[in-house]
Amino acid sequence: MADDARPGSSQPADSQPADGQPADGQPAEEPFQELLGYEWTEKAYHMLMRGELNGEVISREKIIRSRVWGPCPRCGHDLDDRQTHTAVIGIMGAETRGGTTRGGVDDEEAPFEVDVSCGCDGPHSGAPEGKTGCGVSFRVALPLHPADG
Amino acid sequence: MTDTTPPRASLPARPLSKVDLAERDRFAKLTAASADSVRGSAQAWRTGLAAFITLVTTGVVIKGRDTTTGLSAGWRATITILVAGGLLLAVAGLWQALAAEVGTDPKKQTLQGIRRDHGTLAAYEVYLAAQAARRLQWGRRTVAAAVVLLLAGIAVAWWAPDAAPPAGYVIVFHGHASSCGTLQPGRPGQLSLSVPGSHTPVIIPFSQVTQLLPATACP
Repeated sequence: MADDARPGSSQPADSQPADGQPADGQPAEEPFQELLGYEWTEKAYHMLMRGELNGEVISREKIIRSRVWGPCPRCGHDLDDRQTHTAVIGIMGAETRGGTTRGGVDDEEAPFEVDVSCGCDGPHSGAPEGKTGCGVSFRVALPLHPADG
Repeated sequence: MTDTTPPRASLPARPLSKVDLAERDRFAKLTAASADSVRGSAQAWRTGLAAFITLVTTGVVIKGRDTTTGLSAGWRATITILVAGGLLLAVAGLWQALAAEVGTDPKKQTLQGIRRDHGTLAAYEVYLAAQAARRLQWGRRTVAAAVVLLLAGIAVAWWAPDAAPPAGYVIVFHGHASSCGTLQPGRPGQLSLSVPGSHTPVIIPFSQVTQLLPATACP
């Protein structure tokens, strides 16, 4: 089952390292598994708060992009997720913000939600052909920083 | 004391679903297709607008001279301003649509520069697409204004009153005198002149006429 998450819940989420991170600091091999459970979102949040995982959402010329980088909350391999959250759609030149639960809402004060899937280069047995990463996906909510000069 | 601490990450309220991921991936495809989408739209709009303008201006050019010949200078000037303004705006609008389609202002870019300025190549492509979309929007507005001016020019040409016929004054020199007025039907061998300010026509025998001069007004 995709949502059958196991983020190492034997320890408090805000004090544990990434799941695949053994004591020696080297990421262990996790088999590929599609996981979307909320616990991964919680874990990513705690990693962000501890500074283990990094994230930014930047708006320049009304084009929003995000970057989330650091160890994957599940496998511990390095991930570097870059997304563009603006598209020009149709002839009217409408700019739409999307990819989140708040697509179309332009409240720059509210945190911007980004859905991230692990795309690390680490080895994960059972991964489908052409897929990278360990299969975990999570959501982060980051402040939107304007970068317009 | 003001709080200068930057806002931090917050815990999302809603869990992630497969639908969210599918939408994210679909949106990524829309993002990647932004430039092509705008260029395709610009191409279609340019072709359509050019055809429309051609239709309107062909009529103006072919019929313009005939239609305005009988108009007074003031109305002709009005029509000229409307049509010339319309044509200029049409050219400007089509130029914008063309620029949106093929792009202008070529620049050499490095990936490093793009990353520095836009973060990712995808964001840069969206930036270019947004620029093209803005150009296309301006092009459409400009051509719309051009069409309004051209149609106004046509409407004025149709409905403007004809110029008043010239008064047809003549100055007739006869003997040592001269008379000014408009020609009236008279008897054979005589010239009948209706003189402004007089109800009685001036009759001048042809034999006394030494010179005839056309005039726009009598002195």
